[in-house]
Amino acid sequence: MKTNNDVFEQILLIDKTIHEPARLFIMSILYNTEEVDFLFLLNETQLSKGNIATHTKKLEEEGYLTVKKEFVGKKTHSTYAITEKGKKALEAYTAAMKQMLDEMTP
Amino acid sequence: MSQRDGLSELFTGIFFFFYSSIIMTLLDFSSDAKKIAIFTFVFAFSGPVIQFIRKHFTYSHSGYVKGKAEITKPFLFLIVFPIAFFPAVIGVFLHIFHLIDLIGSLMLFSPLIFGILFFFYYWYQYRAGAGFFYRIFSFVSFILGIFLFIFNHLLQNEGFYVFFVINGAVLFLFGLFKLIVFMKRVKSNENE
Repeated sequence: MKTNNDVFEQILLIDKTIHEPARLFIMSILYNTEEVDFLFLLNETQLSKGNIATHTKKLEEEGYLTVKKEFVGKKTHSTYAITEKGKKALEAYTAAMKQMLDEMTP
Repeated sequence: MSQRDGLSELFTGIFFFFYSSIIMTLLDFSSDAKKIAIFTFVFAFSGPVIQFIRKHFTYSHSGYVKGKAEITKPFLFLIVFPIAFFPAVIGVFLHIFHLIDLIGSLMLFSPLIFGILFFFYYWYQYRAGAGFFYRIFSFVSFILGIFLFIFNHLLQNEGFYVFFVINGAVLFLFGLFKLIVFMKRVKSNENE
C-alpha cells in the first residue's frame, strides 16, 4: 500500500506537456491516426485557431509531433503527425494515470 | 477516424450489392452480364473515386485525416480472402469440376458462412475504431445469417443474395447519413 506522499510524488512526475486537456486531446487524435491537417484538428477539438497553433507548437518543441508546412495556392497547409517519442510519452502517461487512479480509489 | 465521412460505407454498400449479383451471375449464365462489368468497375475504381471525392470535397470541407493501416494479415487471410474468393470457388467447382452437389451445399450454408464472416468483419472494424454501430452490425449480421440459413430453402438457396442486399443497403444508408453529418460541420480555413 502506497502512502499519500508516494502518490503525491507520482503526481509531480506526470508529464505536464501531455497532461494539459487540449494537448491531451490533440495527442490522442494523432495517436489514432497517421496524419491530420490543421482544419481537421480545428473541427475535432473545437479549439480556437490560436489555441491549436500554441499547443501544437509546444508539442513540437517537446518532440512529440512533427509539422509539415506547405503552400496550397497562397494559403498555408499544415499537416501533423505523432512521433515515436510522442507515442511512448502518451502510453507512459496513460499507464501512469491508470496506476495512480487505481491506487487512489479505495 | 479515416471513415468519418461515410464514403467507405457508401461504396462498400454498393460493392456488396454487386458482389451478390456476381455470384448469381456465376450460377446462372442467362443473368445479365452487365452486372459483372459494373462490379468490376466498382471494385477497380472505388478506391481512386473515394480518394478523388475526399481530396476535392470532404477534406477541403472538414479537414484532412489519414487513418492508420486498417487491414492486418490475419484479418486479410481469415475474413477478406474467404469473402472475396467465394465467387471464384463457386465458379471453379461449378464450371470446371461440375460439382453441382458441392455447390448446392455451399449455397445452402452460404448465409451462415457469410453471417460468421461478417460478424468478424464488422467486429474487427469496431475494434479498429470504426464506431459503436459496427458492434451492432456484427451481431445483427450473425443473427441475419442464421435466420436466412433457416429459411434458405424458401428463398430457393438465394439467402446469400438477401444477406448481401440487406448489408449493402444498411451500409449505404449509414454511409449517406455519416456523409451528411460530416458535411454539415463548419467549414473553416487555416489562414482566415
